[in-house]
Amino acid sequence: MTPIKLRISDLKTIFVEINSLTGIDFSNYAFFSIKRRFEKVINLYNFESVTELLNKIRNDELFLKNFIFDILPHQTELFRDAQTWNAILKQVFPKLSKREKLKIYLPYCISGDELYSLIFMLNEANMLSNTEITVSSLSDVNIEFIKNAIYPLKKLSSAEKNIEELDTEKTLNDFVISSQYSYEIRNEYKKNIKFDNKTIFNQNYIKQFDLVLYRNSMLYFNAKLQEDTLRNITETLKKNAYLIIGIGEEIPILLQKKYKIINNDENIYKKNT
Amino acid sequence: MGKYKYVVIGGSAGSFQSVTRILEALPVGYPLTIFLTLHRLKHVRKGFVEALALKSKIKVEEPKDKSPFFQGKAYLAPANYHLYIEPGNTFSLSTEEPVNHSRPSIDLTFESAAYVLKEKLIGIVLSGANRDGAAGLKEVKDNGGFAIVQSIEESQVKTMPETALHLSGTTNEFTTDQIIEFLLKQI
Repeated sequence: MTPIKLRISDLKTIFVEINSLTGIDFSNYAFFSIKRRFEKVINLYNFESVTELLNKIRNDELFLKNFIFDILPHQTELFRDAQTWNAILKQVFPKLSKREKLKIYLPYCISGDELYSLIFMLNEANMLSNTEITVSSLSDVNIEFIKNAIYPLKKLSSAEKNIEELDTEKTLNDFVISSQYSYEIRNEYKKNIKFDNKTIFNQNYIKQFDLVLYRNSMLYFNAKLQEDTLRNITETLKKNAYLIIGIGEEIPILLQKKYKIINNDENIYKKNT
Repeated sequence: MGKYKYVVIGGSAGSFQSVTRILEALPVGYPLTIFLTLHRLKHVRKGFVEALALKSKIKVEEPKDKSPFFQGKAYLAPANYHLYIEPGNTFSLSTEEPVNHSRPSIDLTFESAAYVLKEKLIGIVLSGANRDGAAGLKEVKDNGGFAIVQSIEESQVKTMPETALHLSGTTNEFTTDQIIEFLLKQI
């Protein structure tokens, strides 16, 4: 069977349908990666036409949920960019440890790698018990996946390399339990997390958080959606709170004046007002 | 300037020397835009672009996500990110799963560049040890671009150019000198 290639008009039709069924709008996602992801997942499920896909997502709610789960780009890794985590440990956590109750927000969570890396580092700094982490995701299936925290074993090799570069005495075995095909985050690291299904931004979040970790999510958005989401996220930060974005990302120009740079190489920022 | 305005180059093991020779040969003010996706150590963020820039007369940089690209510059895919060419002459980076065990993947840069830049694109696959780049070079050719494979005889590691040659069906098997000559003719 020839793999399906999607035309722009096909993508638009699919986006409209998914938006009306789920409220998730892919139309401002970065073009090539979202096109490729849809083609990949459609071919994975062996659909022969766009019409067949549309019929399926209209009539099978469970399928639609799993389909969205597959479309969202999963792959990050535990302790990605170890130098950034070391900088957080040295430059950010000491400033935050003095605050009474620490509130951290991870919007657009997909795999949980960032969440559990953060929890590991908070534990290293003896700050975990004093912290509440809010996690939001576009998909319920992702939330369940993150709660379970079970990952395919093949992802572990990158985590092993990363943890070697971290300023820690611990090894991965202190953090995960491995079995033949998978590994799971140990239960003691699944604490102090508040899951907020589907709500990326709401009024209750305004000026609530001391730190927002928002790395490598904007990559999948176009410039407009990057600016829109980051404007909302800026609202969720308290004065003098920290924002960390991925090392390949930039703060959109119109929002730059709201932040001062704490670490240029690792993209660590502090909110001005 | 000729019909080609962009060059996408993919390389892996054994390609560094050819890439530096190509960059060294292109003059100041060279009007085409060069995209480089080269397999590299994922944990080493710094040093590679500086090594390439050492002898290059054109500017070499690692793009940030959604940054625009311009004529006469070379852009290197950053460590541990895929590099996509987007409509509207901008880049996107991605942390999606490795393709052909590689991130950056040559196929992904080539496929996105072929889709967006079509017949204005030259694709070049150099020496390397895996299959990455073959499907991408086929896309370059199928979209009307000009597909080149480094001479198998000259390639230090032959798997990548051999696979690209067979899968794309191109007959343009060039030595590094011939690649340089071809690129200089596009001015």
